[in-house]
Order: sequence, then structure tokens, then C-alpha cells
Amino acid sequence: MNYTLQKLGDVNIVTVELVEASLNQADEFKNYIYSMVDQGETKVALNLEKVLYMDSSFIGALVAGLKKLLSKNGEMALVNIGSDVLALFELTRLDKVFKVYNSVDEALKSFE
Amino acid sequence: MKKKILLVDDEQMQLMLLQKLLENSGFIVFKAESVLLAMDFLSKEAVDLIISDIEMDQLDGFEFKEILLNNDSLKHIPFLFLTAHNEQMLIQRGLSLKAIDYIPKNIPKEQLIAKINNILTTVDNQQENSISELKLVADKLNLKNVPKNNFELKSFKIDIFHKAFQNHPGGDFIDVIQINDRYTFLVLGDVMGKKWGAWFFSFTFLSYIRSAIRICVYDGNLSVSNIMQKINQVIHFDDFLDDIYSTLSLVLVDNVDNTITYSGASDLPLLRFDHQNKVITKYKSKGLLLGFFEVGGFNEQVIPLVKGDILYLITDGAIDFEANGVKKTDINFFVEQLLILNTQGKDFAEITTRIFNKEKYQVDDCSLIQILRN
Repeated sequence: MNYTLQKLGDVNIVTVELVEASLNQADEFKNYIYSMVDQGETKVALNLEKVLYMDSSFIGALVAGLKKLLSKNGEMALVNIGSDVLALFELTRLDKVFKVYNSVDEALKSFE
Repeated sequence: MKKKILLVDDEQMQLMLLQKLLENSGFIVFKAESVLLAMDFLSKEAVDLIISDIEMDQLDGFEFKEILLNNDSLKHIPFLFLTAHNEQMLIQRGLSLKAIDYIPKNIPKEQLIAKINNILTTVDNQQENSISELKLVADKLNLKNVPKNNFELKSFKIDIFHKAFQNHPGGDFIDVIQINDRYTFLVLGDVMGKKWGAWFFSFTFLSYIRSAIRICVYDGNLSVSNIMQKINQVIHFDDFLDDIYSTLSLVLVDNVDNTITYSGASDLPLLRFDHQNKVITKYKSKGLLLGFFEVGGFNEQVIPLVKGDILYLITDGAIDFEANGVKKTDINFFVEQLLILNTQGKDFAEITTRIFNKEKYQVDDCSLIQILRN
């Protein structure tokens, strides 16, 4: 499975088990987040420590997931983003769209 | 590019023998010792062909093929059964599951390679024919999201480079909108996604952008940040584009004042080559992804260009590449190459040929607009 779920209280910590997150997984990922939201979940922390490359299709799925959560007054936090991916997020201001944290603990505190 | 084959068999020795044989014939080979491992692999990596044993523990080859047939993104991968049997009933069952063919395990090496090559060539030809037909229809309907021509203005020369990913039309779109002798707008966007899906939506974005520009010009308001906000607002409230996102670089060229004004939405920085000092400066905008928020926070900047200076607008395909099997995003590497080639006085054709070469595999649509102040 490309995503590992750990629940801590009402927070869903999803670890993305992909080195390259791209077009091939974008729809699957979007559906994964959508079904989580449809089941009533509103707090998602995405652990991206394993992801070394992310293409615009996967970023589009991330943004769609965030929008779905926001529509239900939910929240999404991105955690442990690799330096290349973070550099792309900073270049394109996506770090202003997402909440970005250096650790799962930091993200958990933000949900309190 | 080398073709990728996934081998599925619970007999390790058989897997290794076949792997060696296929690798020696120039294929990239992946192995899975069970159907579950194969499905896990296929969720991460795309392949050109699957060769699977029939008799395996837990799930067998037939069940594997049935699972694939129920998966929209995997059902079209060409599939071959590998079998020690030659029973008509087994063959019939496999073919009814849309397997392309059977390979006996004792097939001579040359025949096996010829069979695989024939299948892959046929699939390639069919895909090319389908794409050609779609392109033909798109051309007949005059559906173009990238202009073919370059443009010569009074004080500026504009060159356009666009390379589609795997020769499919994609989500990058370009427009040059000349209002009058004085003002010309340049548009460079990238719908997030690839191939036909992104291509289709690029026309909706282009149509909104053209309308917003025309309306603002009609109102006498040429502020690019104001135009961006108008585009943003329309897209924000359009349910049709609910989960479709696009970046955008918008530039206004003024042929009288010889100025360039720029605003962007989650786009990559514009790159300015300073001809005199031989340096490249990045110009980052503040605007956020088109349509995500009702107010996109767009700013505008005037970028000074004197004679010989060059400004580049790029999409992410220009800085994404695959080398030695690893995909990377590296704007600084791109800037370094651009600086070297510009310092050497290379022209646009040579720059694009040198940067987008065969050593770096393209992984997305790739677009570049060059504005030379002459």
C-alpha cells in the first residue's frame, strides 16, 4: 500500500510510502483523502519524509485533498517535506497554501 | 527509451532466468513473486508489458488478470501468460480474459524475444495511430493551446519553445494577445496533470484568461495583478474546475515605454539575463494557485530590460528531469545552464536544443518563452 495510516485521537497521520509521487498515483491519492473525508475525518497530517520527487499531477491531487478538507472545516498539515520538494513549494508559494511543519509533533500541536 | 516488463512468478529460479534473458535483450525488468506483490508494484510504477505465470499460490495468474481488468488504470497493460501447460481449456480461459498470448516455459530464446518485440511494436503503433487521429481532429477544429509562430514586436523579439510529454498534447498553454501596436500580453500556464485530461481543461483556462484581459482592456485597466484577480475570481466560483488547478504567468509588454510588467499565480520565477553583467536574476511573484482562494494575493512587478537583456518564462517541465533513473526538480541547475549558454551568445534554438537534450529524460510538458529586448 502506498499510504500508511496511524490514528492519534482524531488526527490521521498518513505516511506517503513513495519515493516518486507522480501522475500514476495522483488519482489514487486524491480518492484516498476524499474517502477519508467522506467518512467524517477532518484532521490529516501527511508525512512526506520518503518523497524525494513530486510532479505537478500529484501536487494537484494534494491541493484537491486540501480543498475537500477545508470544505468540511477540516485541516491538512504537511510534515517532513524533503528539501527538493520544499524548494518547489517555496518557489511556487504552495508553502503559503499548505501548513508545513518540521515534525509530526509540531503538526499535532497545531491541531489542538 | 527502454521498455519495462514486469515478471510475476512464484518460482524464483524461473524469474531469475527470464530476467537475465530479457535484460540481455535490452529490457528493464522488474520481478514479483506473487500477485499481491505485483499489484503493490504496479501502484507505484508503470510498465509496458506483464508476463505472468498461471499456477501460483494464493492468487493465480487468471485471478491476477481479472483484478487488472477491474482496474481502469491497469487493464490496458499488455499481458502474456507463461505456462508449462498447453491445454486448450487453459489457453481459452486466458484469452477470454484478454491476455494477448501464451508463452510456453520452454520457448526458444529467439522466439520469446521476437514475440515480445512484436507485441510492443504493435501496441506502440496502435497508440500512435490513436494519438494521430485525435491530433488530426484537434487540428481540424483549430484547437491549439500553444501558438506555432514566434513574434517580432517593435522593441522585443518573442520566441516560444514547447515540447509535449511523450508526444501527447498536455496541460501547458501559451497565448500571445496583441491589443494594439503598444500593448501585448503573454500568457504561460500549466494545468496540473498530464496528457489529454490536462489538455482538455487548458482551453477552459485560456478562454477565461482571454475574456478577463479583453474586459479589463475595454475598461481601460491594464494592471496585470488586477487581471489576475479577475481570472482567479471566475475560476474560484466555477464548479466545473472544482478540483482542477493551474499556474499562470502573465506579462504585459509595452512597446512605447519599453517596459515589462509581470504577475504570477503559483508559477515559477521569471528569469532575467542581464546582458551587460552576465548574471541571471529570479523574479518571484506572490500570487497563489488560480482559483484556490477567492482572493489570490496577486502583486505586479515592472522588470527592467535594456538592450540585449532577455527574460524567460518557464513551466515546471523545464526544471524537472530524469537522469540515471532518478527524477529531480532543480531550478538552479537550469539557471546555471541558461547562464552559460547566454554568456556564450547562443541563440534560442541552440539554447533549447542544448538544455533539453537526450541525456535528460523529459518527465512533463516543457515550455519556455523568451523575450529579447532588441
